[in-house]
Amino acid sequence: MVNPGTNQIITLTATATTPAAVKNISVQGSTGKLNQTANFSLSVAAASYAYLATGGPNQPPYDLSGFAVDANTGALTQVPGSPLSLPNAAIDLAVASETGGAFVFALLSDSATQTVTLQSYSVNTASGALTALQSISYPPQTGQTNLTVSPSQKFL
Amino acid sequence: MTQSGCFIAYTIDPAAGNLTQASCSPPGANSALAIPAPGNFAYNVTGDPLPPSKWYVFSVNQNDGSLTQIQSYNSTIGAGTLFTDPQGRALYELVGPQDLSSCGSAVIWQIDPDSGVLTNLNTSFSPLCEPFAVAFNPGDTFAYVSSGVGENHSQNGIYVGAADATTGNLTSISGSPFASGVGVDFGAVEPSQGKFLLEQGAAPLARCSSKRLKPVRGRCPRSPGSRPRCHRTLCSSIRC
Repeated sequence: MVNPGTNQIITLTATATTPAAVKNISVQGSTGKLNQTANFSLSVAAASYAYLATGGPNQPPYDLSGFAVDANTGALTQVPGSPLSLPNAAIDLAVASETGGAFVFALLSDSATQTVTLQSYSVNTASGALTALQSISYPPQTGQTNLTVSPSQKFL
Repeated sequence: MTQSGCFIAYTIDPAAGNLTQASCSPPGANSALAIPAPGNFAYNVTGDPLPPSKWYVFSVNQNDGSLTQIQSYNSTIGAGTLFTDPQGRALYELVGPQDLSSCGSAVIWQIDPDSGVLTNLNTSFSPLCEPFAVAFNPGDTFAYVSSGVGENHSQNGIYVGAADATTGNLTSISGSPFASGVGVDFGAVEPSQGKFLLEQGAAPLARCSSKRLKPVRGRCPRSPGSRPRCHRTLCSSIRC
């Protein structure tokens, strides 16, 4: 229902199986006083985020940055709260995207104490923002490296 | 995760993300595991670019992620970093140069999905002087390999290979390698439509750039949910 003289929001939704693409949509009034015709483009693309650790061993600052990737232009925009400050250098990152959520895992190395910490973050799937979840510390000099997530996303 | 003495497997709580250590499977080696889709086998290669290297093949317990070694063998090829395509057709071993006057290579191994056995493909996809990382487009039809090129590897390039739909073997496309503007330490293809390749330079935020790629048909690689494309410290999370 269109109310003349008022601004209205029209929400367009795509089904889950809609391929990511740019769609041309035509809107045309058919009855009554609405006789405007307009064409516009609706971008249908899955949201994607890129996460990047900066700084190396003894090369601060140590940050974890998140970017929203515009699928149509390739432009990168920092997600809310980015960059996150890390206590130590990240030596590896991994991402797991389960049906229940998406998570980022960072392996942090303190070269002074030769200790490694595994830090996990949850990803806000609407914004890409990270929230710290869990921190696992390992005894010194036990040599943790190389994160790999299984294709099932069940194991790290 | 790799640890001295074993490979640690954590189960990931799918809702909360909490990690629970499930297993510690020896032998552990100080190099990364590659776990091609669908995730029944894991591969590890140890050594350095100077041959020989030693390969380990593991079966993956789908209940707790633990590894059981099913094969090990010596290879006459130097050890490299392992990558796999999202479909699990092949392993791509990027072998670095032995010194600045020589070049590394890309070795491609077809994976038998039933046994996990690897077959070395006689690929024409070369040369790669200092290969570093591989990224695939969403349709898994093209591979993008970042590499140092030229004398003393002082320049950076992106080698593009068309991937064989069955074996995963790569064939260089016309124009490859493409010059890289900012360095090719890490790379990932934007996963929704596959139009852009992200690469990281020395100063990541200021120099992160995107390159326009030939558009490909957008396709979610897995359903439901998503799977990551991760190359060292640049990761992109796909939401389908």
